Amino acid sequence: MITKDLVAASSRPLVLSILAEGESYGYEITRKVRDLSEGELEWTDGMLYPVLHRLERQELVVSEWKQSETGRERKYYRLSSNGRRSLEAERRQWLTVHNTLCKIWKTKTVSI
Amino acid sequence: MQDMENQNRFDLERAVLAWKQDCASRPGISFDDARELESDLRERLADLLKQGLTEMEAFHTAVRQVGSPGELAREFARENPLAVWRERLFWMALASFALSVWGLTTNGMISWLVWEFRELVRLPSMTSLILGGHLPVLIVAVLLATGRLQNRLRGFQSCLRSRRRLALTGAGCLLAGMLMTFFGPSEMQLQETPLLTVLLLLDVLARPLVPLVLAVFLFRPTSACESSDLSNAGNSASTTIWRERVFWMAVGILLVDFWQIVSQFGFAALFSTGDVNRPYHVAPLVLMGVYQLIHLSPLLVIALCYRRSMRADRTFSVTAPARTTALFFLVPALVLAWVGFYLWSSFFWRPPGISWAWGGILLQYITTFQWLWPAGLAALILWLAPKRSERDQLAI
Repeated sequence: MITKDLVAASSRPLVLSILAEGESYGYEITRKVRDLSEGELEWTDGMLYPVLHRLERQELVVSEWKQSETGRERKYYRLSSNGRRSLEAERRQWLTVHNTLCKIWKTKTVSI
Repeated sequence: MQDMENQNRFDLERAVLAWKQDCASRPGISFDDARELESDLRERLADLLKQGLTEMEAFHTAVRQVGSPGELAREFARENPLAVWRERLFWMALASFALSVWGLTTNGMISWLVWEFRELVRLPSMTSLILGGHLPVLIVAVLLATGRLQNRLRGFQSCLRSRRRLALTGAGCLLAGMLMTFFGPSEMQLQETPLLTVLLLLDVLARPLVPLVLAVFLFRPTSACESSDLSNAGNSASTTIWRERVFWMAVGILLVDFWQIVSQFGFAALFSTGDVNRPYHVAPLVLMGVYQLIHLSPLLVIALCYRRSMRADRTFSVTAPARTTALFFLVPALVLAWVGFYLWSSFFWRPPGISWAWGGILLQYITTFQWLWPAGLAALILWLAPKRSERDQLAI
């Protein structure tokens, strides 16, 4: 079980990383996070949407209402160029923390 | 068998719309947010229905996954506290407007009735104004806060469906109030010169108009997806919402009315000459402008604070004051100050030649029920303030 603080802290890089792979909408992002974390990260809508809206206010993501192939309305989010830069900075910071821990725990580090 | 019946009666589309409507009426969740949450809910529903759940099971499971409107509202408010303050300020302004218009419409009528039926009802005119004008307002507030009025107020709710409707309804009410004031029973005396008449009109108009403009400016569409057949959807939730709305309405009115008494006295002390022919030091237009500005300053100050915070992207707490000892001390203190100022000013500005004693003024204040309005507002605020435990849930 991952603590609430860590879930909150990691939500930003996770959302940015998922959107870096292509545009997506809220439910799909939640599902992807759950699948990739093998059920360890279970996001609620009350957590995800405020994060998405904050990223949008900070102009890191752009949103647009579109119709899906099934005819349902969805609000799609995609990364802006600012978002890409921010993701790069986030990536470096998270890998630095990761590598520091790895060195202490004597496991394999990754190249940043 | 029972399950089958429930299933037959369950209308998925209606349940989803009611849930969306409940979300959208929460401060902090905009209509676009509610639309997005609805889209999310529908994705989940489609998945769950594919798994073979019944419509009712799928709906309840999906709602559990997405979160109740209350939980969602708390999370959204944490991200965007200004939206919550916008909503509170809106209800304060709307209440202030409604009260002014109510006064414009009914005061003349009540005075006329009291005069016509003076043989039957032997009440001092002040008492009738309080009982006929202020008591109904307090009763309506209690009914709204307990959720007993919502279903009967379909018309009122439809006025809140768009900014234009609100502005048009407000302007209509204002016009009716003005007509009642100047042409209704026991109409207001028009002044001798055209200039003074225009000034008087502006003076009467300004008090409701400023809060109306503020309310129209702050309006956010919450009921855009409201349809007439959603009458009993989410009744308990809408009661909580209305409790909060009435609480902020009462706070807004208490602030504006308290300030009105204080500013009237301060104003008279500053500008009054004591000469009946030329009662004030300054020109009438300046006088009126300054007076209205002072009178409406609580709402304007809150609006300016709101605007500044919005620009600076600063945030402040969104918690409502809880029903604590501090509140039980603060609200009655405000009311006592209100009454004190009122008594002081009626003693100070009593008509020349009449020697009123303090005791007489106080006795008159009590026997004519004038205390009912400030005391009623205070009781309303203390009653509707969230309990400590409720506030902790709201704490952000």
